[in-house]
Order: sequence, then C-alpha cells, then structure tokens
Amino acid sequence: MWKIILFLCTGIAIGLFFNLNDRAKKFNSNLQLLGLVLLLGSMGISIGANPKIMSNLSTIGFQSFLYALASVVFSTIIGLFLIKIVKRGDA
Amino acid sequence: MWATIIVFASVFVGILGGMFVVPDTIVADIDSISTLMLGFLLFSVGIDIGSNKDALSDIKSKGKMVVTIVASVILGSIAGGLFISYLYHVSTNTSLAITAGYGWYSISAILLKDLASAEVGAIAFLTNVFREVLAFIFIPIMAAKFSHESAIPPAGATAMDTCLPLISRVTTPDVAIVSFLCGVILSSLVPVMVPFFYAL
Repeated sequence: MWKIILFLCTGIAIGLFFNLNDRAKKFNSNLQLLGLVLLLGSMGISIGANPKIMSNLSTIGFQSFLYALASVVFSTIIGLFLIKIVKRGDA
Repeated sequence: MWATIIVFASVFVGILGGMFVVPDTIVADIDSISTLMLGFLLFSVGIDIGSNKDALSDIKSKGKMVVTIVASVILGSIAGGLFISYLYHVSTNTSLAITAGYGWYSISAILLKDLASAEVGAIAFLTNVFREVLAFIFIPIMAAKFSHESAIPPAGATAMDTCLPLISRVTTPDVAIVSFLCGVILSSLVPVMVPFFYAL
C-alpha cells in the first residue's frame, strides 16, 4: 500500500513541478490505457491459472457474485442519491 | 462504452491464457510483475493528477463529496450484506464482514480466513474480486450515463489503485482526486470494519 502511495505521489510531484505540454499529456494518457490492458490481462491469467478459483466458481462463486453485485448496486444507488443532494446544496 | 469492451477483452483473454497457454511457473512471475506494473500505472495517473494544479488547490471543497461517497459505499455494502444474509440464511455478522472488504480482496480474505474459516475467507476473496470486476463494468457506464462522481461508489476501496486509472480516463483529473481520496479512506477502513462487523 505504501509503495502504491509512493508511486502515485512521485507522479503527482512530477506533474506539479514540471509543466507538461499537451503532447506529453497525451503520451501519458495512452501509456495509462496500455498499462490498464496489461494489468487486467495479468489479473485474468492469475484467475485462469488457479484451479481452486476456477473449479469453485460455480458453487461458492455464485454466492460470492451475489454478494458483490448487491454491494455494488446498493453503493451505486445510494451514491447517486446522496451525490445529487450534495450537488444541489452547492448549486 | 468502448472502455468496458477493452476491459472485458483484456480479462477474458487473460483468463483463457491462464487456463491454456501460460505455464504455472510463469504465473507467479506475472503476479510480481503486475505489482510493479501497477506502480508504474499509478505513477502515470499521479502525473495526470499533478498536472491539474487548480484541482489540487481546490481540495478543501472536495471534502464534502469525499465524505458523501465514502458514506455511500459503507451504507451500500451494509445493505448488500444484509440482503444476501436474508437470501442465503447466512449469519448477519459474517455477511456484513464479507461485504466490508469494499473490493480489497487480499486483506479481507486473509482477515476472514483467520477470524472465521477458510470457506468464508474464500467467499470474501471471490466476492471482492467480483466486486472489482463489476466496478470495471459499472464505472464507464455511470460516468457516461449519470455524473462523473457517480462512477466512484462502485469502485469502493479500489478507487485509489486498480480502478483509479479507469476512473481517471473516463472522468476528469478533478474527479480522479476525489476517487483517490475515497479509496484511501475506504482502504484504511477495511482492516477495521471487517473485524468490527464479524464481532457483532
């Protein structure tokens, strides 16, 4: 976790103290998408290569999926509602 | 919408690769490489955030939005836990502890394997993996159809790391800062909330 914060803060410091031109910003943005694709691909590989996860996906997997779905849906709905109230208060 | 398709394709191709192509010896290496890759990715996101100097100076006005989103995730996760507890007749404390992982699957799984059992640990792991996968589907849709801020609650604790590059890409650097702050707070809460709910 601290490594993650260190990487992020180093990036923020560079962005703050160097004035990047639009070309550099666009390059940075494309680099992000490439990193995202590679990272998600590697997450997929870890899942696919783990027989424990793959064979249990149908049983405890379904229950886990419902836990995840319910949490994400409720968080999103409550978020939509509360964000709207806060924004209306600011306007 | 295209971001969702790219995300889906990346994970799907990865799973197929992990099942049929990539040898087990390399998978462990990939895990260590991906940690490094995450670092570089966040470095790139950091440059994005730092380049928007107005947004950083504006951070005080974002406190209210951060608290609002963090509260949404905590309340939504409680509601989700209660709902599945009722559906599956699982004890309430176990259910609430599982959904208090907020998407941070490694720590919540370790905690619950220790507190409860290996099975609960495995469910916590899968739940929070699915939560992250679902977040990748929800984020681009919410950002496009509703408000940029509404893309953050689906991410939960991962709003600071794995989901941050996607949120940053489909919203603005302003919202990416809010996302990061929400993720930091939620991640810090996971090791506290999981044992707290389990002890209820």
